Amino acid sequence: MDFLKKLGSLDRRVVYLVLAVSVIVPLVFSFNLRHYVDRSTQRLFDHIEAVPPGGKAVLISFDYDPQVAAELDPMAEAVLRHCFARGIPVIGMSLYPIGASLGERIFTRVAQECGKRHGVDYCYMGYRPGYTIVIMGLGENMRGTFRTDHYGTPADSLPLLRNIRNYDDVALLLDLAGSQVVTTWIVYAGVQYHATVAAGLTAVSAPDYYPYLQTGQLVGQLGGMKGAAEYEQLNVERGYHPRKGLASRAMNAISVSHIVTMLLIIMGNIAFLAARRAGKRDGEGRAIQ
Amino acid sequence: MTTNPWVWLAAILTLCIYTYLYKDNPFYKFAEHLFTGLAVGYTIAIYWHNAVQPYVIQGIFRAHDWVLLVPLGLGLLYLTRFIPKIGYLMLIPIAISLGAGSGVGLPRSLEANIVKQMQGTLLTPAMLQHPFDPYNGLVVGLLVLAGVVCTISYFFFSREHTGALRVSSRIGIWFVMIGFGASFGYTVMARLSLFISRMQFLMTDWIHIIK
Amino acid sequence: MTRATGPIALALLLALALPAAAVPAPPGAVRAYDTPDDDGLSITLEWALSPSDSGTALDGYVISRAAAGSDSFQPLAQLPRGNAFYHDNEAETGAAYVYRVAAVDRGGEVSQPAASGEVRAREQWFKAGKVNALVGTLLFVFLALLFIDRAKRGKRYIRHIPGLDAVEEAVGRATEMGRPILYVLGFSTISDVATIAGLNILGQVARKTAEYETPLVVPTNDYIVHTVATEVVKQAYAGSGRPDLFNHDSVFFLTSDQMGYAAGVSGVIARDRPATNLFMGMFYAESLVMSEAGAATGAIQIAGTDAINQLPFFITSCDYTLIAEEFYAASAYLSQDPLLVGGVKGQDFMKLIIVALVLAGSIWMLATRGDWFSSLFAIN
Repeated sequence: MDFLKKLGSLDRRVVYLVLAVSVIVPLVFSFNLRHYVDRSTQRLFDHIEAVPPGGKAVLISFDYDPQVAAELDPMAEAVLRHCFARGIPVIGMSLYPIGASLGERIFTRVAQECGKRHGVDYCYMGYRPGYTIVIMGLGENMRGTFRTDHYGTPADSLPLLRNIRNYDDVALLLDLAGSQVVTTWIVYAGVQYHATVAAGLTAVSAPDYYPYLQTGQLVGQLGGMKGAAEYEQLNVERGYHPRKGLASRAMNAISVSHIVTMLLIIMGNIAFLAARRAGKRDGEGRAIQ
Repeated sequence: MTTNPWVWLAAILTLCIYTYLYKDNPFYKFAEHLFTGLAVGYTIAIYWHNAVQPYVIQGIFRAHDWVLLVPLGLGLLYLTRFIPKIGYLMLIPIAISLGAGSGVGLPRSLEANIVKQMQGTLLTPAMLQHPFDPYNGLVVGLLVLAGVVCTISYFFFSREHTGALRVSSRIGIWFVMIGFGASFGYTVMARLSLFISRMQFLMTDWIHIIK
Repeated sequence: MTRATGPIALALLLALALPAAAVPAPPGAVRAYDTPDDDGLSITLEWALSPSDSGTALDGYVISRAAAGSDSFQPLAQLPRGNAFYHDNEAETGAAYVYRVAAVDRGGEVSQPAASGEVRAREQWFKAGKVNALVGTLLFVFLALLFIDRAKRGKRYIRHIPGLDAVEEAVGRATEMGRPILYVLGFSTISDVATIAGLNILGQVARKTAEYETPLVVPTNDYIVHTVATEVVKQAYAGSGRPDLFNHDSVFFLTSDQMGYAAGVSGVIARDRPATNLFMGMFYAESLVMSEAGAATGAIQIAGTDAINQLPFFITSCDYTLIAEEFYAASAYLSQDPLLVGGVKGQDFMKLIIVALVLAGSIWMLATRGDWFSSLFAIN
């Protein structure tokens, strides 16, 4: 009973330490875990797989801050590699001021690795202020809404944008976000302009968007680090990239730490129930004081 | 270990933030305030280059697009909040944006969040063909329908929860709790992901334990 | 040797390139029609993809237009391959046009054009595809106005919300223990409905603390919310006939920094050890930091919020949680404001209609084996 009592009042710093160890050890001693691929990830992958190369573009919006970049950066990277490997034109943008620089970093690096040229194979348009107005503007006139790219080049002079007027010429619109901004894309680009929308979401917001997936308002969805790791795995399986990326390596640590978390939850509950039972015996109203 | 001073700076700031796990301290406060300040400064610069430059300086002063004076004037009214005597003028742009926002948003939100979701909840004849399909089968369809109806009944306030309403609302709250459980699980993954990513950075870019 | 390979390679390259230089196959039949539900300035074109579209040599399609009866076709646009439709948004209402679509390859070779029949753009006054949204919007607005009107005339029944009993009980407990009540209004601004709901409940709690002479602590993080909260508490004390008990320092500004605020509130919890902590408003990541600190002291904790992502944390760390709409209903119930009560009841009846439609529609569709009912909810 004493042990259970101690367990119930365990210093939270001990929990932090146990979790830190469960994260660091699998990162250092890496092993290869194979993930099952969720249907929502597969649907996004298949949708991009069906886009004819050199035709319609994929538009990626980086609507997130550095706080959640850990989950969303690997998604952006995996989807970009897929598009570049298949020769699909890609347009990058952001509705968040800070998201613009996060997106640019990834675009530049992946494009360089894949030997893609700005303006021809991809365009990075950067930040546009105004959320709803921008989303609706892109549906009317893409070049007019962007005006210039991230580096100040006029949108009219970019060869890739020559044939892209509005969402009619966009095969897929992928919003990477950790907030409700995805709903804005669904409501305005999806409902108003019938654009095809998909989302890359932080794990916190992923459950909120399952209803949209079920109705087809989202054609696919990547949820958290797991979603990114699944996409990396699909890229490797189809030969679009030789090796898995950061998200797959992180999944080892996530898997181990999840087991530790589950054990902690079970132990915490046993301690709680034991304390409650003891409390009842002693005639106390509340279990934990 | 790396010799790149920027990586060192990022690593030290990361560690400063994590000292909060032990307890609140000046190192944590310093890193937190530094980030807040940087974010605000960066945002101001971005707004300047993406809003003020193209629309105000280029649009009004160079291209003489005088219509832009209207939104500029409305925007400036927000600043009256700093002058208590005429602070109420701030309500004008708020009212316009709220009104226009509701007008533009209401029908579309209704379509996306209610009309289309109602369509998604309906049981369709196609479900009869594969009743046990885990995504579009009849069984899943019935479960979704029951979940929607029961959950809505829990959030019905015009009648006391007695009789059939009591049963359905009880089932409804179970659906809600299962939903929260899923959300909680996902949140645990999210928070661990952020921690893991920082650990990857520290061990890969900073001390080179992981190659 | 090296000199000889040059011309041979060139000839080989030419030979390989020749088939690619062949004229691409033209697209299939072009159908041009007036774009439905518009202002009469647009014509929609549809065509079958060129058989050459599946290869990589094709660049796209060139669209051109001429006035009916004329032969002078003006190019309108070039679309990437894979495209099988185009909206000409620069048509003149009522003017007759004919269109041509031709496939063009990367070498600039253009196929024989496929031509459309004669077409005119017409104006429509009503967007027929949006009738469902219109009916829904009108119905919702009508119900809200109807119930606000009824509430103004005294019909304000809202069912009993069990969480509110817990609030009363918690105030009583703090009084018995002689310890303060902590009230946190969330981390949002006054424009957030949740903050307003939190303020309504604060008014009610403050009345009780005034009656029982229990100390109340309200740390804030937004200066407008701070001003309003001070006023709400002051009025509640005056309303209970105990203006003398109102302490200006009970509502105090902590900081507008998110985690700074959470740390500050945790500090208040650790030092003052309130018997009851109430978290009512809009919350973000700081929610668990505060509610966990409260749980550690053994205080009774009640939360109310519509922040879906934070609700699981409150449910695990608090004794009672007002979930999403329950929170608004509780605020309407306590304030008896006709606008709030009418809004809640209007929504209630909208929910009834939704449930009835979904149930009836499902039965109808399964019985008739038809999709007609589902098409009523299509978004156009």
